[in-house]
Amino acid sequence: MKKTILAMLLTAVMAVSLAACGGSGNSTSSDPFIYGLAGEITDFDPFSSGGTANSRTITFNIFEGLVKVSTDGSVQPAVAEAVEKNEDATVYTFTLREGVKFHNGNAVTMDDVLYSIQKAIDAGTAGYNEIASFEAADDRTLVVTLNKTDTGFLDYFTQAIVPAGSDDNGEMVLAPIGTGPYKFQEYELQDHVTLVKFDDYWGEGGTLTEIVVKFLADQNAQLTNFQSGAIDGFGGYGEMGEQINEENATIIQTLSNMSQVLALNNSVEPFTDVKVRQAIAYAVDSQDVLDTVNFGIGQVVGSPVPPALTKYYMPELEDYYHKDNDKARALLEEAGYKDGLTFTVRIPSNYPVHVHCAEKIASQLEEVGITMQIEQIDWGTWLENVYKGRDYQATMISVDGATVSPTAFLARYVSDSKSNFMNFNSPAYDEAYNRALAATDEAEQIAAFKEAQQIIADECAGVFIEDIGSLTIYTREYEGYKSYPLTAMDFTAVKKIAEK
Amino acid sequence: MKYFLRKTLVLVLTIFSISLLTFFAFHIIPGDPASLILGTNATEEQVAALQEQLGTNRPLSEQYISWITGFVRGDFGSSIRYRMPVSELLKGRLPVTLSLGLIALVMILAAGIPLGILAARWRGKPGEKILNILTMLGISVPNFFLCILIMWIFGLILHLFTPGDYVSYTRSLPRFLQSLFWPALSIAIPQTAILVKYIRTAMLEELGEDYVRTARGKGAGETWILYGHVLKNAIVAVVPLIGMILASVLSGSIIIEQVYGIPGMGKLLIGAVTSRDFPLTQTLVIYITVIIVVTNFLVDIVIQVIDPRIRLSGRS
Repeated sequence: MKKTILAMLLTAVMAVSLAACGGSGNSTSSDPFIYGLAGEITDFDPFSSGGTANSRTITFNIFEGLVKVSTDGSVQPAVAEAVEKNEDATVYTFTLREGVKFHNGNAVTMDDVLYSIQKAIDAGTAGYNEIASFEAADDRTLVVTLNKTDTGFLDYFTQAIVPAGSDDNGEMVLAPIGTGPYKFQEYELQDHVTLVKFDDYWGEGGTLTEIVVKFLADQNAQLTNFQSGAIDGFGGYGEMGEQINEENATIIQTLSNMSQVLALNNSVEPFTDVKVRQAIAYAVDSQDVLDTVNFGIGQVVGSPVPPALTKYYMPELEDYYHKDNDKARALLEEAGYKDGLTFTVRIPSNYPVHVHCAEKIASQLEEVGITMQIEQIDWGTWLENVYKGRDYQATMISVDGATVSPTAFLARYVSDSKSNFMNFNSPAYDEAYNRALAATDEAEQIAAFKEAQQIIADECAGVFIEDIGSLTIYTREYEGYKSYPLTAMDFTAVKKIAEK
Repeated sequence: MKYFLRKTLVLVLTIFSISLLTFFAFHIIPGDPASLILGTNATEEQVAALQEQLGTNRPLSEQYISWITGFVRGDFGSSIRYRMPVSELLKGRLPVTLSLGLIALVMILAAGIPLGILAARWRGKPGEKILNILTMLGISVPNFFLCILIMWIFGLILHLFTPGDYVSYTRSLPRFLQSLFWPALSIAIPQTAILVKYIRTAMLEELGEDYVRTARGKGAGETWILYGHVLKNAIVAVVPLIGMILASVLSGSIIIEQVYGIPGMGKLLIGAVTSRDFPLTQTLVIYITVIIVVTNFLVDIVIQVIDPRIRLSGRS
């Protein structure tokens, strides 16, 4: 009897193991392009999830606004074919494009546009609280009036247009319908999302017919999956490039379009003293961090505004605090920390790249007698205690912008901003920033935004390290990537160039 | 009958106290589900609007009460993170984790019992040394490291499988089982090692008993003594271990599912905790509790069937 049971068990195990060794990797030409994402998306809600980079990887391809960001950071017409603003930039007039269709087959009408704008206002979307009124002048003409002058307001109109009534009960959260080049097909929770080419797209769509975005645990899983052939491509940080065999892969280098910052809490000891903050800035060698941790892939920065915003970017700030241990020591002495100081940096553990950079920085600070202790915390705790609660001495993060406007990167430094997690407080900055917002002349506006950045550097709000290099890696069968000044993955740029 | 009533009462009390523990844990850990969904770019208005929509602006105690009153009526509530009913989420996940656990359990028993007997038979022989080293290795190597080793050796070097290539059972059952084989093996190895040690010790203990001497005195062969008498008694000592192994298999699957990218209950639990999804975490924890309590209950019954001298009604 026992032998029979044992025999049965063994047979079962063998059956499973035989199945396990069975053929895998038989591919056909209609294979989808499988893209590996580190992490998972929150949902598809165009009125809330626009904030997280992972969701945007997918929704960027599904949804479009009246206008759309282009690779150089300017906005291009999308659902609207033309837009005009009045002289003092308070009234924007849009003309809807003809022949734009939703993924459900219906044509986009003025009702859909009005519905989408109202949804965005109700959801508290950034910028939309400045809309005084919006109305249809006729079937194809939309007039939006603002409370005050804002020359950069178009950036906010990248917000998705969805069918009227389609999201009354939050349906978009799990089943998005947009006008973009790819339509949503399937969502298997914690596993993958499938997108298929939208044949009725108004513009020039992509060439891939089917895309599977696979959710992976972290960057290690991305590497394993790529090496095993389970995915065809993925996006990662510069430090991952070293582990890829270049002969079997297409590696595309770009920037991540956000400034990594060693954020110092300006209202917590010892960082209330600008001299201490400057001392740390002098003791840190950003180029060294970039070279050792990210193998030189990326760019050193000195401001929250990343290089991709070319008009507003200030290269002169990159080396503003040139590595100088003597200056650092002198400043520390002046501030009363002759015998050195100790502080703790709290880093979200889901971003290994920040942890690795912090380890390097800690060793640089050691040279001038500063001890930086690294404490890793989970993302939820970081958001609650560090970002919202501002209960920390120092932290390390790259904050991305929701739009390509400089305001997306600079607004948080205004003294009373709700997202001013560094507690930066400078009346001079507030004045310059507000002057930039009110400016109707572009040159004047650019000058004011630059002045604001200069103040952040002089007051040393935090130590800006680098715009971390971002890598997009494909197997040899694929190529093509479009870099945007915000985190996005544009699948229309990817092309299949060879068979497996 | 009295025994069943008592067991049921214990089950209910266990579930209730576990749910309270989860509630207190959630009370202590920082984090707001709405902010986690929206990220750092959200305006304060967006966060407030989403909190209102999700119902997370209510105090946690209120959320707990509404969850537990729903749970009693069979309504597990709605996941905050994944925005769908918890029962629907579980429906897809339960088969995955149970299959994984079952395959692992079969592997453990199929390998552990024969190897344990061998270990006892090889006492003092060189084979025992090798088995000892192997079992020590099996017990000491951490689960996640074992996963990485298996993926590396069998996946990337020998190409016996494709790490990360998971196929849902709704698509293809054979390929589903195929993608669970290696993960199950990763769970099974340490547990098998533990089982081998236990069986070996139990058998050696039994071999020193008087009845073995009597059997030998009667002239019974070694094989008959080993399989006819000793094994039967040794198994009784090992059966309670099965309950513990099952608990380890389930907790092991939490890590293994994450490493291999298998969307089962373990991966869902990690997703639920990191996104502070209160109703989902509560329900998953209760599910795992029920599985473990019920298994231990079944183990109790099995022990009695094997050895009727053990009385279930007694004070265990």
